[in-house]
Amino acid sequence: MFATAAKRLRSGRRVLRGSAAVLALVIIWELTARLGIVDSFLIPPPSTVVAHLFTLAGPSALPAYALWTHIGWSVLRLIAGVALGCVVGVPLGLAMGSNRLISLTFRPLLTLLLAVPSLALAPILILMIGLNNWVPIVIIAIETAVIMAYNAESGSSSIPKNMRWAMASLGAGKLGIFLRVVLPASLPSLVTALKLSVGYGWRALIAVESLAATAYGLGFMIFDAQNYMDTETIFAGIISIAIVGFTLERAVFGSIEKRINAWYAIAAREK
Amino acid sequence: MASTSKFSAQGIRKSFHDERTGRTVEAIDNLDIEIADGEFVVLIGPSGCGKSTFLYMCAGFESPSAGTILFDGKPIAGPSPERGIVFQDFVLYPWRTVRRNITLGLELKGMGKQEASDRAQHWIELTGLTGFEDSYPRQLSGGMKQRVAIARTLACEPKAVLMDEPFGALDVQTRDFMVRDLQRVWQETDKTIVFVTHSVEEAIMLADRIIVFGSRPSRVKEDIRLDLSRPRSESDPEVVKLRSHLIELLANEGHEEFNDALTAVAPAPVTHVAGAR
Amino acid sequence: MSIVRTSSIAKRSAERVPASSPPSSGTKRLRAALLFAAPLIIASAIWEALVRIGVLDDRLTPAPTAIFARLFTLAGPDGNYLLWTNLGTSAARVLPALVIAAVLGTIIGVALGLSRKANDYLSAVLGFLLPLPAVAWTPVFVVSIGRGYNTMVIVLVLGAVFPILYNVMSGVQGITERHIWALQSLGGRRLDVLFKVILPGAWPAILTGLRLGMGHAWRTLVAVELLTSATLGIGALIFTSRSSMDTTTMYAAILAIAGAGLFIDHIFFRTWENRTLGRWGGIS
Repeated sequence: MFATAAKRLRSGRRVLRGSAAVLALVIIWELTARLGIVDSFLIPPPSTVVAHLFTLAGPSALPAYALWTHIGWSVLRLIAGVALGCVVGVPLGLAMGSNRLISLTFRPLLTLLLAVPSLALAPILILMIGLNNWVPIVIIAIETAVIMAYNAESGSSSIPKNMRWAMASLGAGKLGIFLRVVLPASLPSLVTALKLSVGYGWRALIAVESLAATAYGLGFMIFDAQNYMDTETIFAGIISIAIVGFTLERAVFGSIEKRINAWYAIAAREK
Repeated sequence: MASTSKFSAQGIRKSFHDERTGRTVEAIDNLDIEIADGEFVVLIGPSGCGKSTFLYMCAGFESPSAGTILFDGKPIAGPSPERGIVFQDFVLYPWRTVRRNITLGLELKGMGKQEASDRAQHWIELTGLTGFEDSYPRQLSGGMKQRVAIARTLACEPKAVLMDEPFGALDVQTRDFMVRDLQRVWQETDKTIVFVTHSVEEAIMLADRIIVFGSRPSRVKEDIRLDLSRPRSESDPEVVKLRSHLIELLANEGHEEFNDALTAVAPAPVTHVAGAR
Repeated sequence: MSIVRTSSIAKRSAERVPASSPPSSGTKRLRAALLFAAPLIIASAIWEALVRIGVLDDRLTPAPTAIFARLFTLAGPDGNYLLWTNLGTSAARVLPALVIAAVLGTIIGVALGLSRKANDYLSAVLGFLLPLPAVAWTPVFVVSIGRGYNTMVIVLVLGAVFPILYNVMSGVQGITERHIWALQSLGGRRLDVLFKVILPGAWPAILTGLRLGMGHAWRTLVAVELLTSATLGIGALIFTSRSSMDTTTMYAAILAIAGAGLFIDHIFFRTWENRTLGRWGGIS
């Protein structure tokens, strides 16, 4: 239709301009590095960095396909941590949303935990369980659990009472109300919280990996490279971290969030 | 006539291009309007007919796609404190108290705080806001907020006041009260007022002259001069007649083509003089 | 008739931060404080008991009494006021960083909010940089400038600037045209519009951004102090005491960080919010 074509024109223009800006920045970077305005050892030109990126991703890296191993481990830890955090946080948050006593009991703990930077917990955790993959996973899980609990509570407690009552007068018991009202109505908050958790989790992960609690991982990669002053790897790592972080937080969870919100908006309008 | 014209609009045409949907909307087709100094002119018409757009052109927020619009003989280049505006949703600044909202225009002129505050006092009293000077907009009712908006505009001593459905967001009782109050304020300040509404009652109670807009793309459908004494009484037969005439005009908007044929009412400048003369 | 339309970004950030409660009277606040403290006190008591009976290892999880004792020692002359020197050092890094981030973020945010063109050009770049953890930049600066104060501040700025920028931008975008028109009809020119409408109108968003930015900076602080092997600083304290297996001090430091973060967030920002938004009605 004419309308969608025009809409695409508008967003097409944005893509064009956005790409132009990115291109301009890359060119400036390349030129300043090559012309020696900036020390190309400290800040290597993008062409070198990208080439190095491909090397790391290929068979000639040491070890082979190193980049993928790093990315794989980081993503694995993130997902494991977020999943674990959800398992703990979501039920807790939903319970807090429906029961005032539970809410009062756990609120202070959550507030406190939220205020603690997750990396600060790492050393103690390492003392407890040693240097292994569980350190980043548990840290991410704690942060996720807090975020999910907070949002699950606010999402489920803001459900208008008459929604629950309506379901009850249709004959649903407590479980029915939970499944058919509380869960669906809390879903948008939960999805948004999930996206937030992924974002914060990624940040925490990179920091924890720098502790060399484990081998492999994008965080490990760049901080290891720091020790060797290997700026090409550092920049390659930063780009990878940005891309993977962006993909996870915005592309994957962002679009899930958008879909859910759109679905809910339609459903709300139909009422 | 042109020398006493406050606003002089000739051949005004306005179209909007919506970037998102790609559609062009013809809001105004052809307007020729002259507004004299000190007149209370009411623009009335169906929703979306462009009367607010015309008002915004008088204010200087929008410019016509074709045609010219002059204020005091000079082309309108943009907003100016000479042409004050009052919006339907008040548009008060919530971070300022009532007093500071009202002194805003004076501050912008460079007036000192104390002097501005003293000047503003007159307007506060005139619009019945005494006692609320230090309240924040959030604490006020709709009617009071609109009074603040009116006082704020008047404090700048504009030559003309443009009002865009100012009482549309108020409940019926407050609205009646505000209509009566506005008449009082107008009589004491004697400014040119251009008032947009789609309420026939408001139009009749307030106007010296009612300009009826047709539906989009709009032209002047009728230009009615009122010679009724103020305050207008609802039981006055002339008022009743005018009221049913206006209602009929507005209701027939969709069937304009048929109406033209049946009643042979051609859009023209001043057709009608209603009143005791 | 709201001056700001809520945007998804602002809402998302608001969901992250616990909502402010309305200003309450003295007894209400006392009651709230007690309600807050009660579960913590009970939990600490249980923890204490478990340590004393020996279920919990007191080297890994020292008793709360020991932790608090250490905290008090460090705060006093016996501990050389170490608590304060470390907190102070960290604050001396975070606060300037926050100010710089606030200035940068507000300027760029306002510019992006007002200009659709600038927005088109830059939103892709910024959107890409937003999920990038500020810590990842540390190696770049460590290698080029070394491990000093400047590196720390730069990384902290990078961490805080994006939430501020995004929130300011969405706040400015939410200001309706009519608020600008109204000021122009009162005689306002460009600068007037900026200072008397845009900035106050975007204020709730700016405040949210600052709050988030502060949170980010505080979290990044610990990482930054670690990665630059800082010897002084509340985050550094955790790591220096690790090498001596001094878990009590580690917990004490964690508590201090949390406490400082809570103080800034709840007391500083909340009071600020109440005095402005509370009186104005939150604007939206």
